[in-house]
Amino acid sequence: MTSLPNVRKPRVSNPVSPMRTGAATVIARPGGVIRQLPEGWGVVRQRISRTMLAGLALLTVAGVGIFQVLQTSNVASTGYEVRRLEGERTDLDAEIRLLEAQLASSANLEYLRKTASERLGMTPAANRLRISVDTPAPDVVPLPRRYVPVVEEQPAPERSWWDTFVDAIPGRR
Amino acid sequence: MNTGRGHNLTWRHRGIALLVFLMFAAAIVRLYTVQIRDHEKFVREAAITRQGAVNIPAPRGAVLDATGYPLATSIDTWDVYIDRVQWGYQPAAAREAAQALGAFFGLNPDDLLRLGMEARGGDVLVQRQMDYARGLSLRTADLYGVRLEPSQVRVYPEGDIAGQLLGFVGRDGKGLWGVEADFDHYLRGKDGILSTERDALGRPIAFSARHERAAVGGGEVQLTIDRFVQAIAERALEDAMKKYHARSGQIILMDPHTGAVLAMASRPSIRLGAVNLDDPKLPELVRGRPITDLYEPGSVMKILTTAMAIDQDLVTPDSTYNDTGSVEVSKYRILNWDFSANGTTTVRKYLQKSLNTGSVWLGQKIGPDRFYDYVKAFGLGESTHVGLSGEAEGTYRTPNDPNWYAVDLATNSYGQGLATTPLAMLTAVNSMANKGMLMRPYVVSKIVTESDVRTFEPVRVRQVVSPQAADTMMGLLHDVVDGVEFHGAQVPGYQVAGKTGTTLLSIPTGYDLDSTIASFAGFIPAQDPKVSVLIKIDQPAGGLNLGGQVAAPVFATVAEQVMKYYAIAPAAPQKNLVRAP
Repeated sequence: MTSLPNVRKPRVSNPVSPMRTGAATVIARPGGVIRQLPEGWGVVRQRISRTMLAGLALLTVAGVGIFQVLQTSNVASTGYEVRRLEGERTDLDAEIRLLEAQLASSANLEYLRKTASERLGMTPAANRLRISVDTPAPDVVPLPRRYVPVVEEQPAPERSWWDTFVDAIPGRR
Repeated sequence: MNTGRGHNLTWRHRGIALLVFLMFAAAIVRLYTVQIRDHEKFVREAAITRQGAVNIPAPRGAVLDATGYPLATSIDTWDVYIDRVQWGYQPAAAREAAQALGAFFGLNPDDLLRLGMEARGGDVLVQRQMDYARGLSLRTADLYGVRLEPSQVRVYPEGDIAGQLLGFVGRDGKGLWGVEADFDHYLRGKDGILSTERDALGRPIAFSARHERAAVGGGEVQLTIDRFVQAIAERALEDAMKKYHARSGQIILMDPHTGAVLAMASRPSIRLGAVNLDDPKLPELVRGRPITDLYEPGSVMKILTTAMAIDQDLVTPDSTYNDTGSVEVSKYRILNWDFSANGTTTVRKYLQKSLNTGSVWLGQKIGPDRFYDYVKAFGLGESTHVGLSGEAEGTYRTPNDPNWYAVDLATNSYGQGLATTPLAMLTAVNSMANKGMLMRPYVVSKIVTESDVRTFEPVRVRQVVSPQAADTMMGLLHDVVDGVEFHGAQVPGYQVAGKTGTTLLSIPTGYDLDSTIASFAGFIPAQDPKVSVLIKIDQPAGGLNLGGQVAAPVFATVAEQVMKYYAIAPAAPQKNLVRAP
């Protein structure tokens, strides 16, 4: 057993906690004996037995394997979920188209005429009354224009300095 | 000491060793064959077995009217098939599926089983275009060997309106007629495809290579046709057909300033929801007569003849000629339709009374060369390029033709001996309301696809007559209707301009003296025309057969309703008009 000069006895609250003391690592024992240990990986290697290393390696491999299985299972179940949602979207799209057609059928002129006369008891006007007003008529839009969306002009995206630079290279078509 | 048999192998040992060796050798040879020599072949076969491709049908676009209302659109359905291969594989499961399928469709399970178990042939179609919601319940049942393929059916929310114009699609969803065929490229979209690996039961494997090309929905084609105006035209035509016992008829409404076709009705017509492709009468029913059928316009042509003469400053509305009741041209005697002789007659009066002698007089003043130049400029000898297939080009003889005679000019001047389509005739007449400018008619105003929006603007074809001549003609045409007492085309409260036409039906051997085509072309309101209308009733029977008797009243009915629809107030003050404070 050797004792090193210039090494101060540490205050031990955890008797096995390593301490850094400038150039070397020291470890304190309950009896106040201090042993110098080599630097870096060697410290770990000396403290962990080969069996533990093998166990750790096995655990790592097993962990990776389990992770892989879990990941695969997760991807598979996500895939099924995606497929289910896609199917749902397809069904909803079909339902939308059906509802649009039904809505259009409900605005069918013959249907409106029939409903007006049979359900509401309306009859064609016999006398017409015209009232002149000073307010100009609004732009008439008899039905919602769902089918032909108004396309707004999009401003051209700003060119990046990189695109400008690449375009400036001579020889490019 | 020898403790066992040691190295003393018996023939049995050697036999077994040889057998094992041979088995390994065979396995290695087989592995070589599968993995190396025929590798590509097996990869292909495996891919075919594993890979399943599903067609994703693109929803067909809608055909819309001018207000954005769908005149034709598609809804999703299912086609139900029995997979013969799967049923042949598992007869017990097939029997169970047949029972359930039979109960679902109300069919005999034994018949289904027999069909599904037949060795030859592909899949058996059980039901085409089944309701989507019903199909979902069948899909949930997950019957063995029963496949549901997505399909579509075309629906017409407004019924059979504008039937010939819209046309129809085939079972494969492709347009076969009308706008459906002419604009099929835009409407049909692009089917998608989904390719995935499948398990032994044909189910997609979730964690596998998956290639998807999404379906691109078809574009929307918007027409200039307004369903309200179209309905007015169709109803009026239907009533006129019944009232005058006519064989066929057409009504066209246009915006004379733009050339936009607002309505194009034709009878007889098809029932869009029940087109029978095997019906031998189908071509008669689906024909878009306003653009495919040529007819002799009769006295409506006098509008153009008079406009030519006024444009050439040959006459004014008050110029006169002496109407003796007949004109001799190249040994042919031409009479007025009512055999009348009117003496000194003004241009205005000749138009009001629709005298053939007057138009012969004008025709001769114009001269054949200029007359046929004008006829060509009015577009009567060519297609209007309305954008629909099957459009006919008008025909007439010119002095350059060897069989043209001087009498042709005389008869052509009042609309006989030359033929054109109703659409081309109304297009030519429209130039009167448009300061002499001929506009190209069009029925499609917009096409909206995923990547593009195409808008069709009015096209000016050419200036045919001067604006002054056109304005003068509008005044004359107004006098023709509102200047004649009890004219059938008059609409109370509105000023109307127009001209009737009656012509004998042209047949291969000449003319059918008992059959006429009654027509009327006109504008309303005359002072600032909102719409132009051509009424054409073919072969009216039952006593009334003149344009003024048959077509003019139909015009009045249509014009009045259209004015109400467009909320155009009458020009003349009404008795019950109230002025807002």
